[in-house]
Amino acid sequence: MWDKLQAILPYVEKPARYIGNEINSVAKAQEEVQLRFALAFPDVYEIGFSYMGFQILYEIINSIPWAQAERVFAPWPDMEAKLREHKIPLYGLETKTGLNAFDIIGFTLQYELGYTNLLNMLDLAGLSPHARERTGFPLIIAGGPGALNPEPLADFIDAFVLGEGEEIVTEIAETVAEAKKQGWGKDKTLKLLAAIPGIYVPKFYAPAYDAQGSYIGIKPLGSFPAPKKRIVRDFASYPLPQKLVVPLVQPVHDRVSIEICRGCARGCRFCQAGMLYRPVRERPMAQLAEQGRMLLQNTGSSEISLSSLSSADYSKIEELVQTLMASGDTSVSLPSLRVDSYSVELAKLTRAVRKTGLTLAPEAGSQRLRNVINKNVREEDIFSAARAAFENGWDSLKLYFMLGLPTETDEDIEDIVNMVRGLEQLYREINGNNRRLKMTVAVSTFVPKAHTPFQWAAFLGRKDVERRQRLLLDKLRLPKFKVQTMDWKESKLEALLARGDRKTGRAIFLAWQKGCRFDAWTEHFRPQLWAESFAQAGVDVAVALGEIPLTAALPWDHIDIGVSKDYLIKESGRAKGAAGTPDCTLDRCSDCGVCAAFAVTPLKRKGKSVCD
Amino acid sequence: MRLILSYAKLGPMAFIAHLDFQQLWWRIFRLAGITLQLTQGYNPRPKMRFASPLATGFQGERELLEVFLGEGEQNVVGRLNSIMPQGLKVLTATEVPLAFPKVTALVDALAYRVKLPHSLDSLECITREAGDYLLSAQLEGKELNLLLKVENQRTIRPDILAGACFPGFDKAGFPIIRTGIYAYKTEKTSPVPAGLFLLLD
Repeated sequence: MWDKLQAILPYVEKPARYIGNEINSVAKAQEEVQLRFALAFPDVYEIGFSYMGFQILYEIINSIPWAQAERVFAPWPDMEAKLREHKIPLYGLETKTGLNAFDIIGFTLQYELGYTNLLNMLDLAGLSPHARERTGFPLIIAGGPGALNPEPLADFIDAFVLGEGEEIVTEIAETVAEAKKQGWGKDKTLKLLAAIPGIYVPKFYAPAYDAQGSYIGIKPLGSFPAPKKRIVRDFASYPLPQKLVVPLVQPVHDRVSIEICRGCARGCRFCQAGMLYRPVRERPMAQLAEQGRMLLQNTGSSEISLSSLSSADYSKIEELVQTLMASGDTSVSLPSLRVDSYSVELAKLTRAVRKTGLTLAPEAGSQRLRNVINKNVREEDIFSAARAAFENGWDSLKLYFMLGLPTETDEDIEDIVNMVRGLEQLYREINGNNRRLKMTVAVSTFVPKAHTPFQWAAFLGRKDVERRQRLLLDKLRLPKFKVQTMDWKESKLEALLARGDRKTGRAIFLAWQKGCRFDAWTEHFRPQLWAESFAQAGVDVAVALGEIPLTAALPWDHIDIGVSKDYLIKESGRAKGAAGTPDCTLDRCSDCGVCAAFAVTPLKRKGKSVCD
Repeated sequence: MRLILSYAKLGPMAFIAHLDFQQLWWRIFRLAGITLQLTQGYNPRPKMRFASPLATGFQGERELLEVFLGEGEQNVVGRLNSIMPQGLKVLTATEVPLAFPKVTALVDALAYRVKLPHSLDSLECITREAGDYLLSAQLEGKELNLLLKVENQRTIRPDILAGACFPGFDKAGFPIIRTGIYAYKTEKTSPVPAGLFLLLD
């Protein structure tokens, strides 16, 4: 295999993407290996490399003596052409074994715009994209947030992993190893997998219709369990990875990352992660400090990122940052800071090594709209955070907003402009001028996502989105401000896939056949081919993007994530009345149902909810 | 403490581009627990010099790298090799005086082994194309051994040379290996400890 690769690698861009061989990567002696498990990321190496979930699963699988986990990423189009030209199958980076010789290929679905890459990777492995046409091994499984609305990929994936993979992955490996030993076929193996909590095998379920022919949901074809998300039994004491694969090329983020808590209870109504990763759980401080030190030692990195959906919410965040920084040459980064002056104080602690910009996410310009989306941040929080930042010498500020939110009007956009100008004014007051100020205003387009209180909301049409984008660009056309907006067409595709059903899967297949790849990359995105594919698949795009009635059966209703639909309906109603719902770790329980669903004790933190 | 390391960069490591390769070395030193001295200035970087950067895709059998460490580091070769990914290996570490010329300034010639698609009847084309840069060319079956001059840090690339003489020369099927880095002006390198350079007579 290496000889073949050596003949094509000089002709591709960044060949180091395709050689593996990294420090801490694991290639076992072939005679020891009874089960080959590929961890497949449907995007290019530099993007997928840093994904923590795979680093965790990689270590868990490779700790099983008879199992070999290998990584595989989507080849860039130049490499794809070379692989096809030389008839080389897509291969695992560790041993260069062709993917068709694996027993399990597990994809992670981190974002919808990677779905055509997934089909393409199967094809490059010499496998049919359609599950029904693959009669033997490898089994194709998929996990990650996208698996919780699995129907768009139901035709292609043999089994979905719902929720947290740390424990399921071993159960899958053991089941498939046993199946191989016993000579069981694919069907029997899938039946055994379907009995494992947290696994959904779509071929054992089908859409059902009532007497009038209206869709009433996905129902089991026999005695199969209701698919329910799985969480790890005891997150706090769950072992963390000891080693991480160290890249040979510089990845997007060159740092190690430790997950300090899982889940977020702030309850932003647009946020899918906020619903999917509940309940909120924290790791003990001492364990994190110890693990942070060990990872830095084992990887040679000097930067550590404390990852979570809202880092400043971690109960002992200040202590943790101080402990990690005590060693002197370590820098700490805090992604997902909330908008308040406490967060700025924290950021101040971390930037002893290098000054970086500060990022805050008010999400909406007006208080009314922030109440609608339940972003529990007040105008004064934003200004006090900015004041703390400017007074401490920050000159660069990045603000995240969303455009196209339910109930939004042009006035809400004007309020973004007012806020940004107000912040510039504040900077002038503190610094006397705005010479060194740099403000970036990043405006994404709201996409309604499954399992959120806004799952029924409409995706805003092109005219309105582009008019509001122009409004922002025009009013903030000053050298101090940099406004970044999203291409409406890309957001539209995301919206169609994010709420898709099995019919959407046909469109994905057609789009891939027509040549769509790397849809998340502007230079490769081909909206015209997608439009044709949706039309041919019989998807009514206008209906699919419109508001969905609360009474309708949704394509993901059969997937139980622990958060009840009643709660989502209630939250959707409160949004219409611009009523806030407090963070349940600080205030009363909001009755989302997740703690009861997984029999966990609700986490309580010190502090005060800013919700009125 | 100033060291010149000789190392091999073989197999898959040939495809690591030079800038990534430099950062990889920094990281390997950190992992080995060996502190590199930093450059002065606004944005200090580890003090490290490659004798001659190797083109992406070429393998190197005996490359040279100069580093500055704290005094008294023991077993540098063994500690680095315990971390090296497959294909990368330190061969020797030689301490040189701090006043020694920069390793980049010492390079006078580069030797390559090029695998050709078929043997040659004469070296006429190679001689013509390489011009003054050619110090020697030897043919052993399908293997062409070249010694190319470096002058004012300029030289000619062996893949370009082979490409000019072999229409359709395919560097992929016929890998290029740099076999050594030479200094041949002996007066300049007189304080060089024995065994560090492959000196020409």
